[in-house]
Amino acid sequence: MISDRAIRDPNWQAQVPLRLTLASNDVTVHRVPDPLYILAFRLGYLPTVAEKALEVFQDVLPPGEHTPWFEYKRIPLPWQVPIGVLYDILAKEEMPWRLTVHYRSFPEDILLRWDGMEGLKAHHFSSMKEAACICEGRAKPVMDLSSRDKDSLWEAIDKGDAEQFWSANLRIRPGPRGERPTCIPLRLYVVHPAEGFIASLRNDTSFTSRPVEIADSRGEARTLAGVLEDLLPALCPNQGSTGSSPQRGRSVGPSRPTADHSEQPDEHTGSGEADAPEVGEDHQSKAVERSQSKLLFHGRQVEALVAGVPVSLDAPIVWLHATLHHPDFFLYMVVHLQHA
Amino acid sequence: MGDKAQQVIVWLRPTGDAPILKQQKFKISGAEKFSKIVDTLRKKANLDQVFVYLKESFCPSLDERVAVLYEAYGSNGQLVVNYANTPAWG
Repeated sequence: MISDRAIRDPNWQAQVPLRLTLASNDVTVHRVPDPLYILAFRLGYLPTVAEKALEVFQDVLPPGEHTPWFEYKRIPLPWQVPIGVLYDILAKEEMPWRLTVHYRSFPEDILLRWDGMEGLKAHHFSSMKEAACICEGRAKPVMDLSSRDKDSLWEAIDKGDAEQFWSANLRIRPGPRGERPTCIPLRLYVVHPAEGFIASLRNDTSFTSRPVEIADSRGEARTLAGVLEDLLPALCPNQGSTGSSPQRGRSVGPSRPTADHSEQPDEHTGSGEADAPEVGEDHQSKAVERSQSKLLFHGRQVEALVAGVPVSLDAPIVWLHATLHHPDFFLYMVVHLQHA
Repeated sequence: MGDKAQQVIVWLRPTGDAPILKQQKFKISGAEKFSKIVDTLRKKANLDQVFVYLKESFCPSLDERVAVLYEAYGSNGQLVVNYANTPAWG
């Protein structure tokens, strides 16, 4: 049997080839510079890539402050979501992934405000503290990190270096938390584009970040199928009712520890406030069906990606977390609902 | 079916120099997003920018449902939300 480490290390080293084009309205010279080809670690964040690309692009930028952001097919990409997760949501198999990079005119109405690399780092460690609370009931393992350890953990992501990451004195493992059951931290993105293509991350994806119990009521390890059977109906309550109508999705991505820009649904969606996440029990039991090796949600086949790879529905969720969690200790999963 | 969204009592607790509120607890539907709590807090405390934390440590996603956060981090019908006017618990 393949060892867990033989899965863990490639997860750290996995890269996405990017083709970066500088946004033409950022350019002060007549000729737009050639695109830049660059490999980016799946576990990393886009602003780090923008910083590297700046070495090539900075000569043609107008004077002023850099506020990096990316778009793919005109969709602005949230900076706080790991690169591999964005790729799995939006691009899946495009090689190289063709992105446009901007250094001006940050779209504050769509994305969380950009406060520089320190803000990104703070967001990452906030996320790690949330994961520690879910696993161990308290954020202490992260709060106790020295700034040197924090820097080393942060640098390890930039270098795709699992060894360096694990050499920092940080262990976070799911365990019992008083009367609460043992859980793993999961971030789940469900992609359900109306017409087979994605027009907006906010409209066409649902998102949740939450603890997920690792054992069922009989004490047996919960599989991925079991977890999705519970989560999909709660997360996508309107999926079955109106066929192909677009979902009032939630925005992609967690938020950093400031709130002066609350995330509103964009203007195409109307109000998304009224949809309660619960649906009736009867409705739930029919919504998800297991058919041999497939999972169907309202008749549409569910494809679950972790680390860019379709994973078995029978995989125990605790094992998926242990081997494939991100450097913030969250397990990130992207679910695509196949077009009916 | 009716309205099944559970009610959660939010307890707003200041940290550092953040202003203390006259009314520190209020009820909210579990179906609301966390951002609604933050908006309410900003109005009550009259702050342009506010930093909010659960478990005295992290800021959750603003788009997550209050019911999900209560289930994960609340107890006795209450969700404690700490707030500060400068970053705390870095």
